Amino acid sequence: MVILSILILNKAGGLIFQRDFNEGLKKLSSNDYLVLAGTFHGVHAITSRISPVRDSGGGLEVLESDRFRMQCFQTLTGTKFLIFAEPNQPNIDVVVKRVYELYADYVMKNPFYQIEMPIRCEAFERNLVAYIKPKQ
Amino acid sequence: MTIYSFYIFDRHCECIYVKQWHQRDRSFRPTSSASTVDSPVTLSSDQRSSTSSKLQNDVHPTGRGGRLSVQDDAKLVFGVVFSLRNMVRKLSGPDDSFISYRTGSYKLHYYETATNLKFVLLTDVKMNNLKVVLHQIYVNLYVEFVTKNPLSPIEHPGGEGVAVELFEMGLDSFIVNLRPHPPLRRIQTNLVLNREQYRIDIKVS
Amino acid sequence: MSATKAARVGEDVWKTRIDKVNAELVTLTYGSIVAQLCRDFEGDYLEVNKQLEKMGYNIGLRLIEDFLAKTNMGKCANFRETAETIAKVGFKVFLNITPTVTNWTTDNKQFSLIFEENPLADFVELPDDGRAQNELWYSNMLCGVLRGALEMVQMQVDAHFVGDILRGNEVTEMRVTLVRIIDDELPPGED
Repeated sequence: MVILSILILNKAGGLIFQRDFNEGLKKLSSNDYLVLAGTFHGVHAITSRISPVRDSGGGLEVLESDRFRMQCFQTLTGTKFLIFAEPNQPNIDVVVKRVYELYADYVMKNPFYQIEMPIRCEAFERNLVAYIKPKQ
Repeated sequence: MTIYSFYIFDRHCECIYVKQWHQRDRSFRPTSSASTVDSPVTLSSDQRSSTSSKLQNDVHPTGRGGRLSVQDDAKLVFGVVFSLRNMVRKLSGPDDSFISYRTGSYKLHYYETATNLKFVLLTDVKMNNLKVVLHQIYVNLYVEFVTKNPLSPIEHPGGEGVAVELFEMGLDSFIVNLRPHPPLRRIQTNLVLNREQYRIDIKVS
Repeated sequence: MSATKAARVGEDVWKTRIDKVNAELVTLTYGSIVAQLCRDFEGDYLEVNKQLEKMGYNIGLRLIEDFLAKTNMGKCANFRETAETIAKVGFKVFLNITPTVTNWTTDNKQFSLIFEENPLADFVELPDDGRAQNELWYSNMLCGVLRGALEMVQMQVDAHFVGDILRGNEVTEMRVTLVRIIDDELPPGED
C-alpha cells in the first residue's frame, strides 16, 4: 500500500493536518498547502453545484491525474480527508475508513484538542504512521 | 452509460462550445429524457447572431429550482477545471495533467492540448477514462472541421464560439456511437464520407 | 526528444498520415500570391514582406493544431527541443524538407534554420528592378507561420530571414529568437 500524503481540512476549508508519507508529490511550503486547501474547499463546493443530475449526492470524491489519485472523503460534519496515492492503488476506501477511525479516536477524544484547529496530537501521528508505513 | 454534456474552452478562458444532452430538469428543454441527442446549445454573447437570440429567449437566469443558465454553468465548469488543473500541476510538477474526477453523481473527463485548448466531458459515474475519446474529438473533429475551415475563427474575442455544422454533426454521431461501444472504425467512415462531399483531395503520384 | 527521434517521428508521419498534393501546384500558388502582392503594393517590397508575414501568422495559428493532431506530440521541454521539433518534424510533415538547426547563442534563445532546399522558391527569379534583390524576402510567409504556430504554444518568437539564395546570398537562412514565454491566461477578475 503506497500512500503519498494525507491532508485534513476543517469545516471552513482550513488546513488542519498535512503529512507526506512517500515520495511522489512535490514538497511545498506550508503556505502553499494552506492556499491549496482553501482552493480545494471552494472547488469541492462547486462540483456539487454543476452536477447535471438534479439530486446530486455531494461533491468531488476521486480525482485522477497521470501521476497520482486523490480520494476525498467528506464526513457528515464537514471535515474533509484527502488521501493521495499512486494511480493504481486499490483499496483506498479501506485506508480512508481507518484514517477516519484514528482521527475519531486520537483527535476527537483528546480533550485538549481544540476543534477546527491544526492537529498537534502526537498519538494520532504515531498511529497514523504505524498504519500507513508499518515497516518504518 | 450516459453522456451529459461537452464543453470546449480556449486559451483565453472563454467557453467556445457547449453541447448538452439528457437535460431532464431544464425547464426550457422540450425533449424528454429518453431522447439521446438534443439540438445544440452554442454559446454566444454576440447580439447579432441568431443562435444567440434563441439562447437568450430560452434561458432563464436562475430557472426552476435554482438551476443555472448554460453560460453560468460553463463558467463554473471552467473555474473547477482550471483550479484543479493548477492544483495538480502544483502538487506533482508541470508535466502532470489532471485527467478526470468523479463525484457521487457524475464524472468529469478533461483533456488539454498543447495549445491550451481544453475539452471537458461530463458523463455518468460508470464511464471509464475518456481521455482517449476527447483526444479523438480533438484530432478527428475539431482540427478537421474547425481549425481547417478558413471561415471559422480561431480567436473568439466576442465570445462567438464554434458554429461549424460539420463539427456538430460529427460530434453527434461520435457521441451517439460511443454508448453501446461499436467499433470506432464506423465513425471514421462517416467522417470520410463527409469530407468527400465537401472537399476535393488532389492526389497525384 | 533527441534529434534522431524527432527525425524518425517526422519521417513516419510524412509517410503514413499526410495527404499529398502536387508540388508544382504549391509552388505556383505561392508564387502567384507573392506576384500579386507585389503588383498590389506597386513595388513596395517592405510592405509585401509584412503582408506575407501576416498571412503566414494566420496560417500558423491553425497549422499548429493540425501538427499536434497528426504527430501526437506534447509540449517541448525547452527551446532547443522546440527547434529540433520544428526542423525535423514540422518542416518535414508540411514541406518534406529538413532544414538544419545551427548558430545557437550561448543563452539558448536564438538559433538559425539553414534551408538546403526551398520548394516555395523553385524556378523563381526575383525581378530585376534593383530593389527586389535588396528588399524582398520571397519566403517570408514561413516566418509568419513559425510566429503564429509558436504563439499558440505559449512562446513569443521573432523570425526573420537573414539570407536568401534568391537574393544572391550563399544560403537561405532564417533567424529565430525567443522573445518570451507567454504565461497562462487567468480568467478575468483573477490575479
